Amino acid sequence: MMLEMTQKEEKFIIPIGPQHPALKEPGHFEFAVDGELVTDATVRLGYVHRGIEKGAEARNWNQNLYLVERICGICSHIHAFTYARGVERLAEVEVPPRAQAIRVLVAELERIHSHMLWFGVAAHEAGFDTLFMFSWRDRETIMDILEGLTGNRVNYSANVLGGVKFDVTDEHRKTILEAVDFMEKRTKHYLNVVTTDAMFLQRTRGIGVANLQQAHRLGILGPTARASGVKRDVRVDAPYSAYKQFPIKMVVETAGDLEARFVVRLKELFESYRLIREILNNMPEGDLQVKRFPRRIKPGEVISRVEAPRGEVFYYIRSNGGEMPERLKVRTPTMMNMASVLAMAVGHQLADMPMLLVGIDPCFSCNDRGVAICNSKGDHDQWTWERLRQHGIDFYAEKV
Amino acid sequence: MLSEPITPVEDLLKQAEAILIPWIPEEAIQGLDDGYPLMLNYTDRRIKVTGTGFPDCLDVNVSAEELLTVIQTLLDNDWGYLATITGVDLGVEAGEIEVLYHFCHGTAVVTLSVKVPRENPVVPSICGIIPSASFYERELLEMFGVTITNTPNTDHLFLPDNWPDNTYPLRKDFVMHAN
Amino acid sequence: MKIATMFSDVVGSFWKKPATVQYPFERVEAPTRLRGKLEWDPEKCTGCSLCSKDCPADAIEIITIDKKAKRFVMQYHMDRCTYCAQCIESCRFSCIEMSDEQWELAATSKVPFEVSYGREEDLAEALAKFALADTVETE
Repeated sequence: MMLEMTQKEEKFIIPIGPQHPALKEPGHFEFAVDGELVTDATVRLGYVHRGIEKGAEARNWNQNLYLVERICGICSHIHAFTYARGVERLAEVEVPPRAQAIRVLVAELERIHSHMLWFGVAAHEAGFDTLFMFSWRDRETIMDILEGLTGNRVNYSANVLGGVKFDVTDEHRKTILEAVDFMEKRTKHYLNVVTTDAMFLQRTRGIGVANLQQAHRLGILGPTARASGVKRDVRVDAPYSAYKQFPIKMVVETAGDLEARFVVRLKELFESYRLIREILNNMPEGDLQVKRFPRRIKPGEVISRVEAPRGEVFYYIRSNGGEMPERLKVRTPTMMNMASVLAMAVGHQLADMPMLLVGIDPCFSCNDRGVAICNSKGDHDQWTWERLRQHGIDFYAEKV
Repeated sequence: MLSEPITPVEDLLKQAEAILIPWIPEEAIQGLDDGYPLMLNYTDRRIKVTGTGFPDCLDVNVSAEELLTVIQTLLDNDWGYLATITGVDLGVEAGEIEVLYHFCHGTAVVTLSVKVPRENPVVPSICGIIPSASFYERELLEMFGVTITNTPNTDHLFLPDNWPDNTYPLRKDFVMHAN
Repeated sequence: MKIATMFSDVVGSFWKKPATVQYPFERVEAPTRLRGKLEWDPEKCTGCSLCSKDCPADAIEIITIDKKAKRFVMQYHMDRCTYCAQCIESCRFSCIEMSDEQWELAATSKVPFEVSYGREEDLAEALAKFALADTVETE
């Protein structure tokens, strides 16, 4: 105890990432620790920053639809959906009801696959690989449906400006309904596992608590926020597209810990199943696309908000009347939730960090080349990438 | 089925207008004499300043000096949350950078627009009021080179550490190399 | 509070056949909507080049041999293609289709990724033109 008192001035920093076995995506975290307890946390993003916002300014309205779809590999449809909805509003084009219903159907199927993917990853980080394997096996059911319906497992390219590319046939309807029944049964089982399994609860219950005030202060979004009691869901607050005809119920928990985040996401799946059945049984008739969509879009600005599996996606689109957008701003939910991880990390065990991080369902979307070396004398020295590379070459040359 | 009824967008925007009335230009109010002057014939008379022009949006021009007061007023009245901060380079000819602060509340979106000169763009930091704005401000700083006074962190967030100084990729005069 | 909640799943799996498929020895039939290699019909093409303009990956080139006689050649860069099917949507004369059979497109060299479509005589003429252009450039 005395030893700890005298050494308090010095911080021991543990860097995690960008390549790290616990995190499958690139992000660099530095955790200052006191023993096993985290006292401070910082993040460095940008490892997969591709300049999409700038790139969009050099592509036409149609090409951008596929560019934005590649922002995220998991919620690709949501980005194309948000973009298409914004551009259609700007062009004052009304999308046929059947197309809107199909868009929402694909969005909900995507939510199921996204939540199941997250569920598997989170179980894996908790060391519960049986749950990880089984949940991913079940997720394949949805992936197969999406492949059969759209022609691709990811990056479905379901949207075109002014509608969708494909129709839902009776055959699809049957297979989707069957799959949804199977998934519902499995989700009930998983909900039972995460709320009753003693070992798993030790990793989740009371860990990473963000209460309502903190959630508001940190600006957390999506299921992570709803697990803290924040009543915010764009599908409910500002119904868009076919959510007007097919309303959805908001799932809110109040505990704010990791367990609540599991419960919120799994309960949301039941809402998705219900909505999918409702859409398939009451599919509006009509066209799939508008006849002609303008190539040039009149000057103006538009804001488009859509609830992605991870929270609110916010697009700001500005046109100057040309074939290309003047500005396309994309704000993804992880941007906001990442800040919350840093705040929540303080006071937790280092071993909880991967779980805390996956708890927000992070989607890293954004390279630094400097490495801070702390040598034995304790003074910091900045190394450039070239120097580090040369050091590596020299090091191994000596060894041989 | 639904747990709570949705507040109509008109009501939300009426509230926002009542809060923001000191910053709404007089021309927009003149000649209208009912209780909620701006909301009568809502779709016709909404104040279009930055030009979104959609019936669920309210756009207000604010000077950089007034920005903090306006945001504080919105928050004091518990209206919405900060969705994001968008920077728009209006081009070399216009010589201005527009900084947009988007606030969402239910269906309604209030956008506060601050125009700053391109040569010396300065906006105050809003992190004192909204701590979560730090990431947005860092993004704005590295992408547009807008100086943000009193912001807690000015490190690069997305761009590499060896990114050249005074090079801002989202400005219009930054040219991307093809392929 | 319970323990071993996944136990029944694990034990149950002993009597089930594996969820994985031993590709390439076993194959699952691809869905009919699968977007594979692009196929182009020169007979219907009017040379409007909308497919090329809207391609997000810059994978399509339409080369005009004779505009009046509607003779065109399509150069399809398969290695750039993202298989999004926007070209099919953009084409007003439905000249473009995507194969649901040809999707195992991996190759050890880049040569098979340069695909040229068109009538035989047009292709020959385009080839001669390019060969000439190449020699002029090198000189």
